[in-house]
Amino acid sequence: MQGRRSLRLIGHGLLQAGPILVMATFLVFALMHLVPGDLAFTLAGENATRERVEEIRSLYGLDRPVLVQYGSWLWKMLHGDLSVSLLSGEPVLTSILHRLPVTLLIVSAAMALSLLLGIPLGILASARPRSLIDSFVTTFASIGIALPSFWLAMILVSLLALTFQWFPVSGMVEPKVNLFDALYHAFLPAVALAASGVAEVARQTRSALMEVQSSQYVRTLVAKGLPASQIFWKHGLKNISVTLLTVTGLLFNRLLGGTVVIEAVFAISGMGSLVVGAATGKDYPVVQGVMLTMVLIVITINLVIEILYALLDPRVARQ
Amino acid sequence: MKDSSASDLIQNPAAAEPLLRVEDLSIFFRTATGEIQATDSISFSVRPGERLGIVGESGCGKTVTGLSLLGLLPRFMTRVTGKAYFEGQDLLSMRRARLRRISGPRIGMIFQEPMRALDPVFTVGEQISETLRAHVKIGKAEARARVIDALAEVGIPSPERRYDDYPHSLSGGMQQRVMIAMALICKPRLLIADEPTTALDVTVQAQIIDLLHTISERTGTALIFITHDLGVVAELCTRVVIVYAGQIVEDAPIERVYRSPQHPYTSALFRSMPSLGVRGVPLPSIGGRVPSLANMPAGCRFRERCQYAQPECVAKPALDTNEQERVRCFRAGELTLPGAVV
Repeated sequence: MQGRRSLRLIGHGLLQAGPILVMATFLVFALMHLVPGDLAFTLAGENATRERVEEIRSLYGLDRPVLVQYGSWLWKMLHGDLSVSLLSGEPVLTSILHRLPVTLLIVSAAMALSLLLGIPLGILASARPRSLIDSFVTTFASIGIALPSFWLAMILVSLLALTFQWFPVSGMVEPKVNLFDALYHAFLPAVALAASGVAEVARQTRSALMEVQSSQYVRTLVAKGLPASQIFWKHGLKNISVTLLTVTGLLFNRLLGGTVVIEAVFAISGMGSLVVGAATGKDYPVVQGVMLTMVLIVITINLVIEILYALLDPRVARQ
Repeated sequence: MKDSSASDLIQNPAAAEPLLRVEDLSIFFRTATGEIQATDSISFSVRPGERLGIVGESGCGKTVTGLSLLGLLPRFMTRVTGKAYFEGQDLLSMRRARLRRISGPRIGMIFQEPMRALDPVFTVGEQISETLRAHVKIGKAEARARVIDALAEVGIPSPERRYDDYPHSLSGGMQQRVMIAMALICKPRLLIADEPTTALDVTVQAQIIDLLHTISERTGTALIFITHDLGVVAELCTRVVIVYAGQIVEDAPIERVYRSPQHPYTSALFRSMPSLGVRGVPLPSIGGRVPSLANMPAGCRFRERCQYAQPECVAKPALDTNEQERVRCFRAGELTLPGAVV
């Protein structure tokens, strides 16, 4: 019964993701056309002859109706053809596949840090409201959320990398080559990125747990003589899992966006630095490719979260 | 001391001994501006199999009294003084670990809003089963069978299927039946019901009252029924305690209270009950309002709203005991007050 329900949920989620996918890809496609001025002129570069511009226009199919252009673009994308970089001539897909693991490693590490530190901190804070630990966590959470990640990144570099030389100042090792070394390089970027994540997770865990503790069903659990440990580990955690899941989903998306800045600070060649470089160099196919990849990742994560959500909370499943 | 209840039975003539004896229970709320007293020396007892109604208006302290017995008031916001002996042991001074062996297996409790009293993310079957397994050494499969029996006993149709339902998919009446099954799964000697029908439809209310009555009669479970509804108490209870502004004003067997209430407040409650067949006459209400907890008048707390008040009422009336009955009024016995419209 559980299995059939999950299948139905996954199907339902995919159905919902479909229209979002179409809209998102259209926006990514349209981005290129929102560039001020004539795209063909931009692509052809400075001092191009009129003939050259027209040649570019027909080469990229810019003389055709927008919807037709979108259709053929989408068709190509679906077959893994993300076009080539205007600057290097390298296939966009190749450079993305080359850099994606680095970014995903940093985001996953930051995500793991956020959850592994944030949840226990939130639990500690909620166990004794208004205690010393609680004030510490609450204060830390406010600071963590307020601190800009790039500032924290620079402080970490100057302190832990330059002064104590515990960590590399910049750069990255490909995870494929040496995962351990890659994690070592990813540590500082992940910490800088995770600070707000830890804070957010701790804060949400704390408030969700406090709400559960003051709920009437916990009063029932106490009245029926369950041990406090069972009330917390069984009922408390399952009840806050929905909140945690929502936070995790939102956080993942935010961390993914945050890598743009962090990779720049640490001079790491991931997705973030790729898109920054491409945007400044007006390398539109690359920008498009990166955007599309990010969008696909975010939609996938949201879909997974949605399904887990319905599995954890029986009230969601019925809707 | 291995089996204290058995040795108690030998030492005391058991039947006369009350199951629960509450003595001078006072509850204080801690607020930013200091402590506020919510209840003032509440004392009552419940004998085995007895069904006691505790009746009063919202905010009179009846619900907190029920909650305090099982240590369910938030500790950092409340202070409780007094004693509550259950089978000879004081519940109020007991450590949490010891109270857990009474709260649940020996005393069950049901609440006002079953929807919010049940954990939304566990099936109702699991919630009852875990209660049983917390107190009785029993396998999961055997527990499931017992739970299904219990669900059937409280009148839930096709209990095998309902076992795997989540609370939100049941109606309010069914949810309250689940709560009752859960509270009774360990066969407690006392059930505390805190306004269990207030959140339900009238027809469902009657069914739940019937159910509680049947169960109490059949199993001999004593009942404390906390409510603001005197009509419900009449159908269900054998004895009633009337609470006004944190104090007991009257305590007597149900028929006596209905026939001839001794306290003007009790009588006023009867008069403000709607009854069928009376048309075109406005429903009487009690003038004025309950004094606020922070600003309790000295003397009789009902004085300002009482049509029989006299100068002597500025002094505090004691709760006079006369055999099985108690009343807190200077003019008790002297007044003849109207009871329920029969």
